[in-house]
Amino acid sequence: MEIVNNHIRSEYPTINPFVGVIDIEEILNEKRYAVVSDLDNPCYGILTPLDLVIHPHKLVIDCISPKETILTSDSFEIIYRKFKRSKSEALPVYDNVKFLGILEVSQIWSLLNRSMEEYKKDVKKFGELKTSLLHNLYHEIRTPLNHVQGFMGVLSSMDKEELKNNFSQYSHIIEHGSKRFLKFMNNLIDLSKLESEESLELIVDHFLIEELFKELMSQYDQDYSDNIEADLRYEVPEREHVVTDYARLKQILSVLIDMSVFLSKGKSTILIGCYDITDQDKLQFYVKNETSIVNEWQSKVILNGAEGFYRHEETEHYGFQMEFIKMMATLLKGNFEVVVEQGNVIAYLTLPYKI
Amino acid sequence: MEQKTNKNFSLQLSFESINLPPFEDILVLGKKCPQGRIGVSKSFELLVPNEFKAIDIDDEHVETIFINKKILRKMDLETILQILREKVFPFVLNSEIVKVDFKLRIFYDTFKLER
Repeated sequence: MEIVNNHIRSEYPTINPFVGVIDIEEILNEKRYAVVSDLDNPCYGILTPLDLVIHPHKLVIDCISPKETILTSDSFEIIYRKFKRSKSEALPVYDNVKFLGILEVSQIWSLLNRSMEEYKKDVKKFGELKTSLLHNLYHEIRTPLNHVQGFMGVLSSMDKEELKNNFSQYSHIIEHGSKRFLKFMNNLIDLSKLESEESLELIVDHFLIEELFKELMSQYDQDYSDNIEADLRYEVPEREHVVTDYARLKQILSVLIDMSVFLSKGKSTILIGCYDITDQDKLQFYVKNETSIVNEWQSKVILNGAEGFYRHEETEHYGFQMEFIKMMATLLKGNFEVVVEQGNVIAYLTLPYKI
Repeated sequence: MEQKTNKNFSLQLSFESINLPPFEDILVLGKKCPQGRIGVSKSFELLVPNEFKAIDIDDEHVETIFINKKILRKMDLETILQILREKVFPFVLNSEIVKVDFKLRIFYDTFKLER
């Protein structure tokens, strides 16, 4: 319906049905079609030069050949077939019985070209997604499984005394690896559902934003206590409550924190918070890496990654994650963007107060 | 010597009364004749309202026929069309308009009257 409604022409060449064809030859030669209409009927039909060959009568109304009509509910494919059958430069558009205007064949061709361009972009995008995904699979699946298998092997080779001394540390590493693997697989499954336009169930609830931040902090401490030199802090949110899906929002922020940690080289501070955009009834969650500075080239790569996909080794990790976050943000009726301010990478997730 | 030439005119003149439209019974329109179905219908409606019926024909050369309703009162349409298809249409060109005189007389055999 959108295709038709967006392209209906309300201005078109018209001719009176009861004039002689000699009087309208010039219009027909110039415009290649004319709508036959008068005060009694806005569209008796479309007259084309071919009609004058098939019905070489002297009165315009006698020359009209029956042609297809386009309905507002017609899909692109149906419209294309109707034009092909009619061999006409234009066809009338009807909403049931009411004449709405004209659709020209030139519009269909430009629409087809545009659709092909968009299709090519989608194909390219999905190709890049596939490549990025495969790279992520290598990293996100193999690495934690290596940890799990490696340390399980170490544990199994230890004697009682060594086991007693090292079990806690090694089991924590195994647990961390398993959790990381499970988190990645959950995100991957959710992304595949979103890509296949399957709806993800939302459980909408009213909750305190600070409680969510505290939970993220606790999760971060467990996940990264041993390995990373990045501190996670939160700023007290400007608004207390939000009404949305708690688990999904936590999922998105968790991924953003992971990405920020990955970006960190050496000691850095990651800050999470929430601005209140009162005039739009929206909240803007942010994840800032305050101390890890990216250079101009890196910032271009990151920002390009936020817009689409890219393949540089250092940041290919982000490709799949960015797409995932964008789709999840849309699911929560929000949007997502990444900016680089004075070398600091900041991810913004904007959501309505109430979904 | 120059001879003077006079201009003379010769004229043949005759006239007769006619009726409009210029046919009474059946008119056959070819598919590519100058006048089409709608134009002819409209002109008949203006000249002799409600006297003729237009029938669209599925034929290689004939587009439409106009039949005087008086004939339809006396003989059914299918029979008329069958006659026309066999006896008239084969002789009609695409570009022609053909006037058909279809003079119909109905008579009964002798019959007894019951009293």
